[in-house]
Amino acid sequence: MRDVKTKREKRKIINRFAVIYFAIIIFILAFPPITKLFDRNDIWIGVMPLSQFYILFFLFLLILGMGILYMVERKMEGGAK
Amino acid sequence: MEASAGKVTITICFMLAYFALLIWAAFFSKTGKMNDNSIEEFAVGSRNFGWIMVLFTMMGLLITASAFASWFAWATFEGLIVQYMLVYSTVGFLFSYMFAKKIWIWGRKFNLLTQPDYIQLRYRSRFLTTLFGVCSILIEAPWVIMEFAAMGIMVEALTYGVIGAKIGTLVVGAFVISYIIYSGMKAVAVTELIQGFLSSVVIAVGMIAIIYKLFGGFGPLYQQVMSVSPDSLTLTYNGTYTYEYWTSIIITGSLGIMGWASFFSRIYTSRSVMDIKKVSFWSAAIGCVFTALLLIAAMGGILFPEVVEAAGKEMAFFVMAEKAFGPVFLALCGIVVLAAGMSMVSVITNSHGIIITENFVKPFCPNVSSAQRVKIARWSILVYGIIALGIAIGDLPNLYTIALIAYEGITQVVPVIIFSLYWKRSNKWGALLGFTAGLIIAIVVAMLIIIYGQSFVWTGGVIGLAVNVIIHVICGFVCPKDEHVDELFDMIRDYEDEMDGDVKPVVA
Repeated sequence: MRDVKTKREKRKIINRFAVIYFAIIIFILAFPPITKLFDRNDIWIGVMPLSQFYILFFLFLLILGMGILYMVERKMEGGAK
Repeated sequence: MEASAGKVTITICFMLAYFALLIWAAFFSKTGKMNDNSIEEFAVGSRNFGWIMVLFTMMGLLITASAFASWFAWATFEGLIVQYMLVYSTVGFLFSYMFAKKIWIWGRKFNLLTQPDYIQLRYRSRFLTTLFGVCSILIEAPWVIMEFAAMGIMVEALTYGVIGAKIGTLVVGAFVISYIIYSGMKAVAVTELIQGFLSSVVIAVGMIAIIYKLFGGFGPLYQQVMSVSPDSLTLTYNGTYTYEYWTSIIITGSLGIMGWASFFSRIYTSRSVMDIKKVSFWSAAIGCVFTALLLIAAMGGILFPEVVEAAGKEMAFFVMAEKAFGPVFLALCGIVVLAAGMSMVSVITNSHGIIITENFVKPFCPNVSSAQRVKIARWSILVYGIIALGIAIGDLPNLYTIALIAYEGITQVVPVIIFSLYWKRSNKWGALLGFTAGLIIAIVVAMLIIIYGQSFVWTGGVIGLAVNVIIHVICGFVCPKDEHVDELFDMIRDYEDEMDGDVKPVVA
């Protein structure tokens, strides 16, 4: 029973952390003043302008977060389906 | 695109081969056949699809014929702004990851088949359930009709006019409807698997190949676009759009994914919660890469006058494909676009047929057996399909506009879904009043923008969403909590306990 409680607590903490992480990324991607800040075609990062890099980079972070969250949850459920 | 007998022959051969493959998959393969004649098997494949099957049905939500036609053309003209599609689809799949668990658990426990079923379980209001059913069909049907019409236009274009658009619509439409009627969600899933796999390979490999062949790589593409049309590399296209517009379309788009009634059908087909999460993750990852490749290649279209000219007729994708690798690749791309259209239409049509059966007919005939419900669903799909095809081959006055307005309406479903999942005080009055007010505002504002050219800082969908949420919250505090809600939420806790090692099984 104690084990179940600990797992429930763990799940709660992970979920809260994930929600904050994803909220920050969505905010960066969609909030007008931040979008405006990154929307520059006169600054280039590697082969692409900052405006393009901004979209791809933060989406990469979002997908990476989803992948890590999935792996953590899967591990917590002992590989259960 | 210039026609020749050789090109027409190549395209028609490819189309015939593709249809032969789908006919085998839908009517003769073991995976596509129904194991029993129950409504659960017909509607959601007895909730037993592997994650790969669910993945491709989920991807069908994103990769549509319009993405290759309208959005590709838009990206050719105006560049980065169209990448809102990339953002909203990825965020939409994140929402699916976060919110699908309870929908799946309650769906499995109570044998839910449709989105209105879920509304009935959570709010116990027949009126609200019927309203959601009617709105789902009215909001989504224009997209089905448009895709039918678009597929006909594609067939006409790809066969260089040998097969007319109306004939194309009828043939492809009749084929899709026949396999849905034959085996329901099973046939839909197995054909989506083929369609999704084909689309994935062609887009992933094809777009990279196009970018290297026509532009010399990603870097040279951006540099050339920068020299010809620097505004294409900004999100506002030099002030044509506002940043609030960017935000609005991302919010309505990403939330809208959860509003589709067919989204629920996809969730219910899955074997487990972890499978749904896996599907959401992979849909986000694969969808993001494919859409990015497609839209980046589309941006380069601005460098070729013939592609720009074709973009005006929404044929830029095909012109670019032919320019890069000739008629064989063009035929392959044509198949991919057809596949994308068929994929979207099949899931929505199946879902609407089940809604008509379960939420409109069954309440009046409560004793009807499972096998009889399958029969009713088949007839519903047939009638629905004939009506949709009939409208699609007629003139389509303002259908695209209606569909866009309707999408603003889909978003209004989402607060109801999210509150119902996480807030015990959410009740039928909040859902009903909030949804109705949000829908009216979204439609009125969208119409004002379209008819009078009146622009607002935020879109109608976002304004309606805000009002919807406020009304829902007020009603939540004013009206008493529904008694059955605690029991529903306890089930979720029990399920989690079971997953954590407790012994109480809650899912049948």
